[in-house]
Amino acid sequence: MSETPSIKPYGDSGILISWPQVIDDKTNEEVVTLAKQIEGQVISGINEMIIAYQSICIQFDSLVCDYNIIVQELLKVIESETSTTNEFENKLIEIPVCYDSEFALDREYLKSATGLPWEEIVSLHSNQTYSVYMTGFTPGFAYLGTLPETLEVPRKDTPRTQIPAGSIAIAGKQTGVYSLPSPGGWQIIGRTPIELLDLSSDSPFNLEPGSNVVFKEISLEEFKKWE
Amino acid sequence: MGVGKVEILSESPFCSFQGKLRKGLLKYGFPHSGAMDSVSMRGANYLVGNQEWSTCMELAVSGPKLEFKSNAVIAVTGADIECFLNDQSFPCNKAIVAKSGDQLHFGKFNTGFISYLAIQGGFFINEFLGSCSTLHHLNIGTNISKGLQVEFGESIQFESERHLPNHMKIIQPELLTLRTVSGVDVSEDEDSELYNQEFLVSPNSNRMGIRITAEKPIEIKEKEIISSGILKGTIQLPASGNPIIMTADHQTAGGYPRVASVITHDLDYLAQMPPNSKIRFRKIAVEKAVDLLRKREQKIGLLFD
Repeated sequence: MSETPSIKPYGDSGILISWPQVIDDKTNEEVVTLAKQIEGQVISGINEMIIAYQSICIQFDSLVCDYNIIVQELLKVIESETSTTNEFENKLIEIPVCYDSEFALDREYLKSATGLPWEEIVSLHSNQTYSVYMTGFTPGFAYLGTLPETLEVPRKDTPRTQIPAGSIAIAGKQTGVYSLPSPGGWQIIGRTPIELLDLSSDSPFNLEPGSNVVFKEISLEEFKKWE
Repeated sequence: MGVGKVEILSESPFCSFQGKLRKGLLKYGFPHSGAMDSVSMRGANYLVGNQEWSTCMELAVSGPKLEFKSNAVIAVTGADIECFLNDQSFPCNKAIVAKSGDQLHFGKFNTGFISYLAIQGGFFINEFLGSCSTLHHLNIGTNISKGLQVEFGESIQFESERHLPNHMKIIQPELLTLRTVSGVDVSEDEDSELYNQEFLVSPNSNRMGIRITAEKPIEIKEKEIISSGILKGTIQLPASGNPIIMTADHQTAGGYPRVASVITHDLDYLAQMPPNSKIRFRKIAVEKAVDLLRKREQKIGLLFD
């Protein structure tokens, strides 16, 4: 059984569709499925849609469209949803990651916080499939879950002011990907040599909510050859 | 094809090129950017005969020095800033002619906080993801740096005696009342502390957000939410109890409760309030907020028909 999401106005030209305050695969799958169905309907007036863990935030053109009319269209989409299974094929993206100490800026902290040897931390991080729960905060930042419990660590007390592009980091039950250099408070476990946000391309964004990701460990030599 | 050119003679880190919005990419983390005071920017475009959303230069803190390499028609709107052409002062809110070789510089801001320089034909700035608007903190767009030569469009014939309608001039009251609509993360009986006190605009504000300081920091039940989408105008409440109002270059997701949203119509007024000015909030119905915006946009739209 799927929970019916709640719908309410957000600002004077927004709509917030939200599910209960939980982070889990099932809820996020419902969010992504509904978001794709809404996108498929091309509801007139909708300009933007921000997909998050348990919410969809819509921005619409309030100059020409009324809130109530868009909500009616949204309700039609929600009611037509007969099954909760995700009928959209999820992309699987492999991201090569070098876990060398040159890039794993928080290696020592992670070892002491988890009490695990580095090899085991790497193996735990790279031997599973993650789902992209949401993107945003800053361009190209992707929130992935869920981490094995043994790797759960808190965020840094004081965020770094600049994290290099391509950094892979962990915090709580999540692992994240910094596509562009940005400030950030997550613990850095490695770096990928690939450009996740190719701003020169027509479709610059590889990671979208609903995509699946695996991290593949590469050596420092392989990383350097990539460049 | 008469394309003009202007050279930047001095660095201006707080100034930027702003024009049409970068739309459709909120889900990837890109805010719309564009002018903090879109009414004043469009006013400047109107005065020189441009299209509504032609790219202008947004002036904050202090303006750059420029030298024209071709004749140009320019206008400055928004905050009442001191403007000089070859050391001769000229007024804001009026189009003037600059000749090739003339130098333009700016003095202090008298009223307001942000001004716009429009040039007839518009500044030609490289687009990035569909917009010329600068996004400073991500190094997106063209910086206004010393030695930069910027082209602008062809001069066109237009009625030179255009006046800026009063409704497009800035206001800077002693105490600005910003109208809001209800927030999505608080209940109706929980947000009273937002409405029964005054706030000061913090100097720690920027194009991402205007931070305001409460006389009595606001407390609500929910301290954090699961990260969720953020739209322009949202008032976020961090644990400090001092709200942040999301503006042009805002982050697109966040985990602080969204306690209200400043109505789109009033965000342009907020942009003109310098640090330490006083503001307060008043809640109105969403329908009223939409009505105010529609009426204003209709009026502005008529100027560009």
